[in-house]
Amino acid sequence: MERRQLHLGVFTYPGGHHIGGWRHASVAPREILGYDYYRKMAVTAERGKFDLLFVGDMLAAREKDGRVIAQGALNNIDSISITSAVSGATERLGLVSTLSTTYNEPYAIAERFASLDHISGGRCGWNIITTANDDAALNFSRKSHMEKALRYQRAKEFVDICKGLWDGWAEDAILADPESGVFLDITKVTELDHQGEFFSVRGALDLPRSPQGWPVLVQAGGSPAGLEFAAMVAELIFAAQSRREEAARFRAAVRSRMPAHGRNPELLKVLPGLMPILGSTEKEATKKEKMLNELLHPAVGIWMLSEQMDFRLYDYPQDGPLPTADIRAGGNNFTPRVVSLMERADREGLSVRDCGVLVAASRSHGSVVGTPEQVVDHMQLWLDDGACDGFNIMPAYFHDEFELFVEQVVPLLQRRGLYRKDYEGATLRNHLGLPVPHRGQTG
Amino acid sequence: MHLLASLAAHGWHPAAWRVTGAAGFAGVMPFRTMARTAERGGLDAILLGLPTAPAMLRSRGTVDSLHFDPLPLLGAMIGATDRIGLCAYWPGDIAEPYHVARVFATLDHLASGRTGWIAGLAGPEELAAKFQRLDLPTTGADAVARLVELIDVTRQLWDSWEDGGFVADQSTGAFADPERVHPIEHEGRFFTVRGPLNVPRPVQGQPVILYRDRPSDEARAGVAASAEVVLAECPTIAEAQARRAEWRALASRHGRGPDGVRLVVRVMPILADTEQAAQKRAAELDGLAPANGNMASVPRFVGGPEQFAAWMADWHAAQACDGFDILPAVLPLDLDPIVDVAVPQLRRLGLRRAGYESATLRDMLGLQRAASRFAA
Repeated sequence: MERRQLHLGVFTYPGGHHIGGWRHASVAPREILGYDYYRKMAVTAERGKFDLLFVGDMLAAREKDGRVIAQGALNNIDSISITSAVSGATERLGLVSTLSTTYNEPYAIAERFASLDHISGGRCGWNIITTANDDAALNFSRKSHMEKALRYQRAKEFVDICKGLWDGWAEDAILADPESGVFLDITKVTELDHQGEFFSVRGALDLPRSPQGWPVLVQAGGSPAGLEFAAMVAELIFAAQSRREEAARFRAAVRSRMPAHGRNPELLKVLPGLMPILGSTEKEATKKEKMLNELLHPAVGIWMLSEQMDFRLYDYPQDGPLPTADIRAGGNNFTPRVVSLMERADREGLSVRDCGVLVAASRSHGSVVGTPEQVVDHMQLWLDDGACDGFNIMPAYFHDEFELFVEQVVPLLQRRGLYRKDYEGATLRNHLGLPVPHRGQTG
Repeated sequence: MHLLASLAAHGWHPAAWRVTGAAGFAGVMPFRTMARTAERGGLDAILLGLPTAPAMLRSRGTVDSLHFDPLPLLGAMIGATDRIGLCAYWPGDIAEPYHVARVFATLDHLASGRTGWIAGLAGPEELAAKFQRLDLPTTGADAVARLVELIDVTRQLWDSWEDGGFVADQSTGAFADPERVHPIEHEGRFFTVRGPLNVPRPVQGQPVILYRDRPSDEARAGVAASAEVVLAECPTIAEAQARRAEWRALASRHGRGPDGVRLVVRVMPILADTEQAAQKRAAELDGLAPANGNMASVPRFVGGPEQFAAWMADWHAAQACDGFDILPAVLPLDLDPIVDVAVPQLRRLGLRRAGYESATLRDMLGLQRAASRFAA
């Protein structure tokens, strides 16, 4: 049997994923909003034969009590703008954009992704989020954020409508016969007529079926509601587990839920986030990590921690232990990454400040610090243990740390037979080994 | 004289697709080619996503009804061009200001200050079925009021980061200056938005606000508070003069001065080397078009490209408009001669600059860059 290979994504971030990364001397922070910054990232990823470029989404500024966090760096700027812009600078790279089902309308989003799939020649993916950040509600004329279970019900209906719209056009609907004057065979365009709990949509898209049929459907996060949703719709998961055993458990859990929805678990790829910090020796890599952590302002870490835990940590002593008992008493429904961090804090006796650094350093995803060989060993171990199907690489800073990965880690992965030497196809579905959905397919 | 070009896959004549010889759907490539052609001619901007045919005709399958979402289409034009302005239609009927502000702020950064938002109301016939948002007004004074508030809140969000709010000082670790980033705390009739935006102030301060004016448009009085470039459909010089005077007076009433708004007349040229040949082309095209397919409110010009330059110069001299939004009847057939012949002619008349002199669309159009309203 052929060796299972890794799939790789690169997650964009203004500056870098390490929250201190933008202060690294090699980063030109005034340029992180410009086209060239993202173009270069995409071109590097394509040179490394990456499956995809991944862009996140946030609908509120990082702020506390009405003031932006001064040291807090920026979150992702609009995802579709970035992916559509770099589509022309690349030929093979998949382009995954994040858009919320809680704050959008299905017709608009179906049209947006169908357009991007055409524009990119079949390379787009949609990271479906329900938006976890409560503050977003206040920017969208709502008094409070929609409750989680309801958000996922809405998301399910939202995605069903999108699929219906993407499936509206038969492959041969466009006749474009100049003689008869018939442009479109309207009998081959099925209008959706949806009346549901959250939406009413009637009509068809104004675009023919796109090269991939549907964009690759991506999901991130791993709460119980999210897990069930992923088992129902996701073809790719951007996972957050930082430990191998947890990651393997998570992957097995989603896969085990898929048959109940009539889905083959092989048609799901799970890519945990991974921040590699590279050095030519382990010592050098550790030194780099230390330097990056020193660039990280503790206030940002404590802010990020408070947001993730939905618990205000500002008045606790920074050097005191993380008050896990208070946090647990104050909430429920924690995401797996929060649960995992609290367990680790209890186990290792971490302080509030330590936890803040941990969260801000890798944005609480996994990280590995070492030589290219060590990073490859780590990745291979995860793959072989069934902890993942690949990784969403989160470079600590752009561009140097990502270039290093492409120049030093990718060739080693290729030599070990863990990774493609070249692209075999032109679409994202092709890179991921996912089938093109046929018209009328459900689920 | 401002010169804009509205792009469409085959052209703006309803029979364009029958004569281009191109396949029915060629994806994004024609747009890249046309954008580069327009840039070669030094045009101020290309306009993306304005509807090419009435909804009623589209449903019969006799016109090219294909329509890209203009936002990713604009994104795809950023790398294909260097200087030309890039504008996209995003009707306000159901739009949320945080989305509009965030997307256009991003696009404006990526495009180094070359973007404009074409606002307007698509109306119920375009949108009602697709969205069925029964909670939102689709017509009348309420729809207008919502649009006016939408534009205002979007602009407030762009202002929520003052110039200098994005610090990015590596030595101190200060990424933003909290004194210069402001919640907007907007509480209006249709929108409640706290802000601030999570994208720093756009390169242009605010992307240029264009407005798709419709015959007997009820929104003018309100939209005149913000609109900087009005795309008007006026069949005659007299109507354009009246429309321009109306918009200038309305802008003045909002304290913006008459030159705060530019009226651009939409025109569909059908060109050939001689007037006779152009008339023949027009007749052939019309013969191939479905009934009621033309946009009656958009004047057409039929003739040679030099004559078209003279025609534009006449309207401009009569103060009927500040420029034109050119809707080429068939692409690229009716865009190439404009770039190669009409524009050089306008340059000889002193009506067009020689090339690109400004980096941003706002500067190119001579529009003021406003300071953030939240600046102390």
